[in-house]
Amino acid sequence: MDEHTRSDQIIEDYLGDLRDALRTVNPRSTKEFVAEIEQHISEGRTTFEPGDEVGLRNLLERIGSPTALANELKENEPPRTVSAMDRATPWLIIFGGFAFGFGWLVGLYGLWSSKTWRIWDKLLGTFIWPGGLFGTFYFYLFIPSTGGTACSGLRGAGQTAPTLICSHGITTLPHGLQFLIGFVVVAAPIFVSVRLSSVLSRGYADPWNSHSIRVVRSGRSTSTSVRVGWIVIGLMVLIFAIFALTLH
Amino acid sequence: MCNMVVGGTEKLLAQMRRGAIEYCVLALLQSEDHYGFEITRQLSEADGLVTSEGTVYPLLTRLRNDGLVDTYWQESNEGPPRRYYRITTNGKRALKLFIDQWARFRDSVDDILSRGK
Repeated sequence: MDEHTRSDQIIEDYLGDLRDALRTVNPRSTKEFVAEIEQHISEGRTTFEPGDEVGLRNLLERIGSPTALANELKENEPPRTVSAMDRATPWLIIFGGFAFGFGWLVGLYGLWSSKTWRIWDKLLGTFIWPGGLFGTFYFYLFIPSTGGTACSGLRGAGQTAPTLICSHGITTLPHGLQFLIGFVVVAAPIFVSVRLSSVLSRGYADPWNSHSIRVVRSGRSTSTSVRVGWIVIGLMVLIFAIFALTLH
Repeated sequence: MCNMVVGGTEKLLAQMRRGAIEYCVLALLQSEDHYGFEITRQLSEADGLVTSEGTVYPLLTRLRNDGLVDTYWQESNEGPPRRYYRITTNGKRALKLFIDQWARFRDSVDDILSRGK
């Protein structure tokens, strides 16, 4: 391995160790921090010959051990405040649907207006399932009447016409599959709610929400995520209204 | 027990150092804008101020988040573009306040400590 490549390997190893040490730190801070350290190394390398391994090791030593840097970054993180809305959101997402769907919609607003969750968590919270556990019950009410129908005819003694016994929707599926679908349908919103709570307790902010995708308009900053959230909430209200009408 | 006391003192010193460095950075930026590498090098040249150069970057981020400095990118002849740090009006105000208080604080502490000798 030539000297220059060896230097590159030493730097890659150092940055790899740094990323590992930063795993428990807010990812929003770490991305920028690692970029700063990379830049520092690039600048530092211009002060000695490209193949000077001793010079490089001295530079990395001066920058500090990955563990020390991770600790420093943690110390400098601003104290985190969790709003009441953030705390309530996972509960509203899972149980809010039982309050005539309204509670879930409030939870949806909390989810999309918060910087705590990433876009994927927001999408999970929205679409699995609309209405939370209430959506699950709705699924059981709604699906059997929309799925396939299987009927079998039985002719009893003295009967001229057979009696039709029909089963609907997922009840036509094999028992194992029925159980699996039932389990997934119930477990999925619970899993999503637990995940939202877990992200909340970790306290990672949403880089998608708070970096460059922010529109400043007449002194107020409006996050794109919040606007997308309003559109999603609007769509959900519409879907709820259509479902409610179909029930009648 | 003794180790706990020493550990507490070390933690306090680390916090004091961290607090003081922020104003040292502001003081460096008051005369001219600097990029990160320059700032860390100047701080690490001062005895006992910085334990490792990399630890200055989280402080720079905090100063920026607090609105005491802002940043801009500038092309460099020696490599990739550099992020320059510039002191803001709030930063200048904070530095002035610190300088006023620091002299009084330092003199008072020195005075009390010298009595214990």
